[in-house]
Amino acid sequence: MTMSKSHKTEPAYGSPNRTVRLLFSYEGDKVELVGQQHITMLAPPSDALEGYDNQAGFWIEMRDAGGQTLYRRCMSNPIQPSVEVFSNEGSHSIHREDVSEPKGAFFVLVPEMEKPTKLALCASAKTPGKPLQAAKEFAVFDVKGRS
Amino acid sequence: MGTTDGKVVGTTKLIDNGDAGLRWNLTILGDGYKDTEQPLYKQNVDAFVAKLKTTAPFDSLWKAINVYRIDVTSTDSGADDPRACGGTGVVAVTYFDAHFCERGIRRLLVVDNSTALSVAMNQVPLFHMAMVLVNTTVYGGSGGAVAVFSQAPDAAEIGLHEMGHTVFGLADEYPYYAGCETGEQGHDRYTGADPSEPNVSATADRALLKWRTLVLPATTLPTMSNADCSHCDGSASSVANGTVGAFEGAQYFHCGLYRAEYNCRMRELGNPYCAACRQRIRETLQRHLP
Repeated sequence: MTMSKSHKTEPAYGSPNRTVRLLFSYEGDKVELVGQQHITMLAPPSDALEGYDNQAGFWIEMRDAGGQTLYRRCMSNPIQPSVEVFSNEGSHSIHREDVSEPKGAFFVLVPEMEKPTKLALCASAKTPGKPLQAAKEFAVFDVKGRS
Repeated sequence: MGTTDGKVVGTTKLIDNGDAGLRWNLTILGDGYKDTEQPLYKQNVDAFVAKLKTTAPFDSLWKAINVYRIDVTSTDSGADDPRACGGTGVVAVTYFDAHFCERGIRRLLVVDNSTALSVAMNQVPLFHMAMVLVNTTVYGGSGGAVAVFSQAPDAAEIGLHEMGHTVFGLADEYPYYAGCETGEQGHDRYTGADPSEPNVSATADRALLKWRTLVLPATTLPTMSNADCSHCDGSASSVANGTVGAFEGAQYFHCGLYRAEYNCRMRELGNPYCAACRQRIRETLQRHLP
């Protein structure tokens, strides 16, 4: 069912200008957290905390020890089984081509929480010939808190 | 080729709209610029920044943005352009190892993303987005954690498109995967879950459309439908330019997904961001305004 995002729930994080940069590397479907840096800057605002049960795509979620979602940010999936290809100059068109064994690095910026949290990466599985399903958690990492 | 083939010279806060802890910080790096070509690099960065400053909605959010230029020299000028992909065969020894023909794709210009991120983190610890300008006039670029683009006349558009993905989570709006003329299979009609991206929708229902506040009551929904889902809809827009509605064909599918305007930078380079994309960019950057 398609749902409306009109009922936005405000995220519950403390100091708004403390941020954690989480740096990941990936190869194929393996993702590794390779670094976390606590910095004084503004993280991207949270998307709605509720209403994503039947949504496709990619997002990150921060959860407290009880599993409650504290922050969500919808993003383009940084681990793509395809690449964007730009046509010859002048045509302006774009298309995609599949790649095998994608590998690389990416980072996310999340608000620093008072206590340790979990960061979940959620994505829709892409199965050729099948409709895109609702996103599911595929990796979870520990994030240090302020204290 | 790599970090022994040049050096990081330093960083300049090119656009200073205030405390980096409060603003949105764009970091620009260069690759394939020799020591003697640093003035050219500065010109190229200035040209991109000028383009960004006049691009909606960044024009109205400019006070939210700082821009940092990281000066990096390379041993050689340009980027590898392998003959295997139809290139010139040039081999350039550069700091970030810029090269075309990644995975055998002619226009796919990439750099060593990990090194670029590492330099950005060291030089501008509070950066939000990193871009690498590559010193070649051959058209190309790529996206991901770092946006990469060449100095061909239209290549800055690649940087803006990729920034839409990386920072703002915008979806591609082109209604095909491999191309309209390829006879692609499996992209006729989208039947999956509603995408989470703010600029595409699996419904044209006025009450559920993500960008519904931008749609005028008199606008018909769907605004344009594709009569033949086995192909992309090649018809011209049936409404005035800038009309916000629900246009069928988006995110790699000919039918079943809708975009907010007939055209958009996320559909085809060289166009403005559509209203739904501009709204998402504003929502993200607004908190950085003084």
